[in-house]
Amino acid sequence: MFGIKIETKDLSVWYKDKQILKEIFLSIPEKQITAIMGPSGCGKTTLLKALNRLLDIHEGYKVSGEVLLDGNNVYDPKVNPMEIRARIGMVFQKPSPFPHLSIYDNVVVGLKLRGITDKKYLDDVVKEVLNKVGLWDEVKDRLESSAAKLSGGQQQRLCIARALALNPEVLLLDEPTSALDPISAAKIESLLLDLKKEYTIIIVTHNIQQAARISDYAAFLYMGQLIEFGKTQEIFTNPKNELTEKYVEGRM
Amino acid sequence: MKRLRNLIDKSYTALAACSFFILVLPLLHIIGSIIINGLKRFDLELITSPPKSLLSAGGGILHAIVGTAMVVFVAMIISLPIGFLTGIYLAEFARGKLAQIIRALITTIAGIPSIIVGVFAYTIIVVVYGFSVLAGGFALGFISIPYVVRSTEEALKAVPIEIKEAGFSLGIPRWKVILFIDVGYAKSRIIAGFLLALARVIGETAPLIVTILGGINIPSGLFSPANAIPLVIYQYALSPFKAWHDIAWSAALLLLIIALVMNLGVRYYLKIKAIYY
Repeated sequence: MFGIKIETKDLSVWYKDKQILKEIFLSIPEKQITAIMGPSGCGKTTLLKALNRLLDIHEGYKVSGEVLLDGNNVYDPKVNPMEIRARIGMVFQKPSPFPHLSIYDNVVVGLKLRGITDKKYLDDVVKEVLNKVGLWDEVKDRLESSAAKLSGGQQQRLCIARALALNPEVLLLDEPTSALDPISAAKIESLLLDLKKEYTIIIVTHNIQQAARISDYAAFLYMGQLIEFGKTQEIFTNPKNELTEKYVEGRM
Repeated sequence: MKRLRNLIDKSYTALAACSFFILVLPLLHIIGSIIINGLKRFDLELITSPPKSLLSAGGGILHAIVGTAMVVFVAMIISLPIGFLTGIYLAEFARGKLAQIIRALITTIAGIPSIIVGVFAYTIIVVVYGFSVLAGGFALGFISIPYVVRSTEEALKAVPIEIKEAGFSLGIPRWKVILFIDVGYAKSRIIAGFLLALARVIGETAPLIVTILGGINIPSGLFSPANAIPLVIYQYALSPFKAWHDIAWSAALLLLIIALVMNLGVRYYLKIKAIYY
């Protein structure tokens, strides 16, 4: 068994009057890939955004319960949400590089705007993280050109690099391959398998096969409730709950 | 039945075409007359020399071109920062009652007749400093504020939520997300809004009559009286002299070209930017 990196305790989320997440207890193991599966509208994305306090920036959300990162509650009033977001990187469904910035600046914008200006250090970070996501050789000669000119798959890898530049401990991915072609998607999947050596990875996915292929642990969410959580192999071969069974067999 | 349907269909098309021509004909007439009459004196002297003595032919409107440039410059210095910051406030912070009040206020400002803004500028600036570039710039700045506010607000509201979320997810403080991610993303639309606000006030005449006076001298500074291109058109068109009428037409043509270049320039600029976004 691995150490627990993130733990939710009795986590509930409301949007206005509607309860979106219902008393979630979940323990995310360190340096593993945990997949969060479930049908559309079941609260997967909300759960992800509750972990790094990204829900805070939207109006109308109310969170109760605890999210423990290394045992400390990220919703503690003394905690600065910006520090949490720097420790928990996030990649979104739609590739969202900043189109007004160069490839280089896309990678380091988080560092720069958090006050790090040492050119040498930034150069090193750019090279390191672009190498990590397998983009360095493709873009090293055009680091100053606009990130919007990259292909969708390259953009998504750039977004992963952007998150990694802050040297986070956890990486959240919200259906990172759903807007990509199969080849780009496969590249991202193998990249995630590489990255799990260094990072705790949580991936929300619609794609049951993808969850089976790359995740070590899987959670099944249904109408805001955590139905089942366990080793991916167990979930797929020997689900305890009837709903989970239906879902992984594609009968839902 | 089918023939009737076709007939109705065709008559709607004809009706739409008719309304279009009713709309476009006066416009073409205006543009046509300005070009035909304006070309008579549309020469280098027009834009390089100040006016000559009353009855002699020749002379130009250099004083008014310089005046317009100075007045519009002062106007932009006043309205850009205020309008830009208010736009950011409305797009990113304002919620509930206060936001509604501010929006209503901006709409009201946009609806004030420009001559009243001119009189307002007269009472608080002309009375103290005299007819001046400053007074005219203040009036035009005031008039352009709602345009800058709205274009900034619209541009920021058009920033996709993924872009904002991506900014926040990097642990960047809110004010930096707004200033470097949101404003950066919306930059070209915000600049386009600035230019359109400028194009909007460059042809304003009424508030200038009561603020800059409109003499024949090239303004020497912020506190000296000035003339402006639209004001020259107004003054010369009312004069009894044929030579001045011709200059007024040419000044109108110049103003038309400036407005056209600015509007087309903004469109072209946005089109180039749109390729990348």
